[in-house]
Amino acid sequence: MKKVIYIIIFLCLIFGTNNYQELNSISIITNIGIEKNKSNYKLIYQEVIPVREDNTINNKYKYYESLGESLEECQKKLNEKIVKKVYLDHLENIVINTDSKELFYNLDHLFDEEFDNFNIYLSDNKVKDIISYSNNYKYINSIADRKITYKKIKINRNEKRKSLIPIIGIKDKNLIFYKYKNLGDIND
Amino acid sequence: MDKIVNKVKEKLGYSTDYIFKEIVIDKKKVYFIFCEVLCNGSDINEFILEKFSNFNKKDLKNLINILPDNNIKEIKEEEITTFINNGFLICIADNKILAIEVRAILERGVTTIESELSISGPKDSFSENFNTNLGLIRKRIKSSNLWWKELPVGKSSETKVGIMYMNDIVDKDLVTKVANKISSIDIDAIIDSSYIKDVLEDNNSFFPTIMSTERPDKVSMALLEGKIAILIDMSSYVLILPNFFIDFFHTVDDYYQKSINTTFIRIIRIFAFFIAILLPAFYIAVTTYNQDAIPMSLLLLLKAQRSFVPFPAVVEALFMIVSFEILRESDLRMSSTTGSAISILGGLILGDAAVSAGIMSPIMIIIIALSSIAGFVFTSIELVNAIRIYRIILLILSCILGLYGIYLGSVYLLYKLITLTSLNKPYLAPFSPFIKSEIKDSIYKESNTNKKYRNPILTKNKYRGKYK
Repeated sequence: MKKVIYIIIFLCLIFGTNNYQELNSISIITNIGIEKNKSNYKLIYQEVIPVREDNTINNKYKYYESLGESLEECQKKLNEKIVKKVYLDHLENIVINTDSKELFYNLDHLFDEEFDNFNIYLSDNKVKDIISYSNNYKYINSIADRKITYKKIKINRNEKRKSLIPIIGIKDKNLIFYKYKNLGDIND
Repeated sequence: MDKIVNKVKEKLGYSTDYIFKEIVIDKKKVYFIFCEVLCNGSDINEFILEKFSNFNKKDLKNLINILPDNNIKEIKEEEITTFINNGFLICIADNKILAIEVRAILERGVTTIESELSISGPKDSFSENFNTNLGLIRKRIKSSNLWWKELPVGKSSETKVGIMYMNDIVDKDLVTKVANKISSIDIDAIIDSSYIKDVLEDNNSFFPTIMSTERPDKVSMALLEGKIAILIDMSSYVLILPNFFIDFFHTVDDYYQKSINTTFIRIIRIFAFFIAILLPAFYIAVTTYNQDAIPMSLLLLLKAQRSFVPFPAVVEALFMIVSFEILRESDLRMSSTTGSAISILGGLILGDAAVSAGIMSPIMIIIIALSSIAGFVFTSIELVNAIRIYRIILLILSCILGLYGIYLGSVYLLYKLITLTSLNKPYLAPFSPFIKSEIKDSIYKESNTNKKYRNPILTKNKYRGKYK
C-alpha cells in the first residue's frame, strides 16, 4: 500500500512537467523588431545560431518576418514559420519604429508576465536594418548608455512616472543614439 | 593408536597432502600426522624427526617437556583434524596425542600500502596474517587497556575474528552488541572481512557505515577515539565501526599535515562530493529545462557544441557514464601494464574519436570526466559506489523534472542520510545532532595536540590526554 502511495505521489509530482526542450530544438531569439504601417503590424525575429567551425564558435543570424493585423497574429504566424521552438528568455532588445504608446503597453500580450527584462528602443529607420546592423547580437545594447527595460517602463507606468525611450538610427552608415523621448509625449 | 590413525585418515578423506608417518622407538610405535602444505617441512625434519631419532622409551613419556617448541599441547582425539588444518603436527605416542606448531609462513609479510596512499605518515599495511596485524596495532598502542576478544566464525573455515577496543574509552554496550552480532553469524566460511560487513550494518543503504582499512595507523587512531576494530584472519582489511558520514571525508594524511592546510583540503573534498553527485544532473537540468539560468554567451557555446549530437542530452550523459564505468571496470581487472594501455585507448582515443564523429559533445565529456574524477577523491570504495548510484538517480530525476527534480532528489538523499545509523549512532553527527565540540574535527581541523574532547556520542570518557 505504501508503495502505491509513493507511486501516486511521484506521478502527481511529475505530472505536467512538459517543458522539456533540448538545446538543439530551440531557436534563440535575441532581437525583435516591430513596425506599424497604418493598421498592419510587421514582426521581425532575429535568431542567433552558434556554429562550431575549426575549434571556434561563430554566431550566424537568421531573420523571420510576418505581417498581421495584430501583434498576436504576427507572433502566431512566426511560431508556425519557425520549425524549432521559439525561445525568448534571452531576448536582448526590442526595436519599435512607430510612435504608438499603445504598442509599448501591448507587449504584455506577447510575453509572459514575468518576462520583461529586455531593452526597448525607438527608431525612425526600418527595424530590420537596425537589428541586422552588426553581427553582434549585443551591438544595439552598446548604443544607448542608459538602458530602458520593459520592466522599468511597467514600473514607471504603475507609479505614474515618466519613461524615457532611447531613439536610435542609422546615420552615415553608422548606428547611433539620438536622444531620449518621453513616453508620455508619444501619441496614443 | 592404529584405530585413531585410521579414523583420522577416514575423516580427512584420504587426501594426499596429509602425511601419515610411522616410526618405531624402542619397539614402541610413534605416529606423525601433518598437512604438507600448511607445515614447514624443514622444521619437522630438523626439530622434530631428528630429535625423535635420539629419543628412547623414557623420553616418550615426557615429550611435552623435552620437545623444542613453544606451542605444544596435549589434545583430545576429536580435536586432531582441527589442529592439523591449523598447521600443527600431530604426534601420537604412548597413548597421548600432542599437537606441535610447525606452521609454514604462507603470508607476504608487512608490505607497503596499496589503496590508501598518503604523502606523509607510516607506510606499513595489514597483511593476511592475523597475528602480524594484531602486532602492528599493539606496536602503536602499548596500553594495557587495549583489549581483545577472539571468536571463531564459519562452520567450515572456522576463521578467527577478533574484536579490539580500548577498554577505558569504548562504550561497553557497543562491544557487547558487536560480539553478539558476530557470534550470531551462521555461515559456511568467512573468506574476507567484507563477509562480516553485511551482518554489522544497521541499514540497507548505498552509503557505507563500516570503514575498512589496510592502515594500522588509521585503526589505532579510531581505537583511541572509542571505536571498535574487527580483525579477520586471512584478510588484509580491518573493519572500523561505528562511523559517521564525515569520517569518509577524512584521511589519515589530515592528521600528519598542518591544520590550516587540512581544513582547506577538507573543504575541497566537500566540493568534490557535490560536484561528483550533482554536476551531470545539474547540466541536464539547465540545458533541457532551465536554459534561462545559463548566461547567454554560455548558452550559445553549449548550443554550438551540441548542434551536431544526434542524441538527447540525457542519453548522451548516460552513454558517457556507462562507457566510463566499463572503462574503469576493465582497467581495474587488467594488470597495470595492460591497464595503462586501456586508459589511453579509452580515455584519449575513444573520447577524441567520439567528439570528432559527432556522437558526443566535448562539454559532456568534460562534465562526466570531472564528476567521475571528483568521486575518486574518496578512499572508501563504498562511498564512491554510493556517489555513482546517486549520480544516476539524480540524473534521471533532473531529466524528468529539471532543477525541481534535483531538489527532490537532494531532499530524499538528505532524508536517507539523516535516518541512517551506524551501530545505532546517528550517521550525520556532528551536524545532526549538532555537537559543537566535534565540529572542530569535522570540516575544520584542530591541532592534534590541542584536541580536548572525544566524540561524546562514542564515549563517556570524553576528555583526552592532558585534559583528563
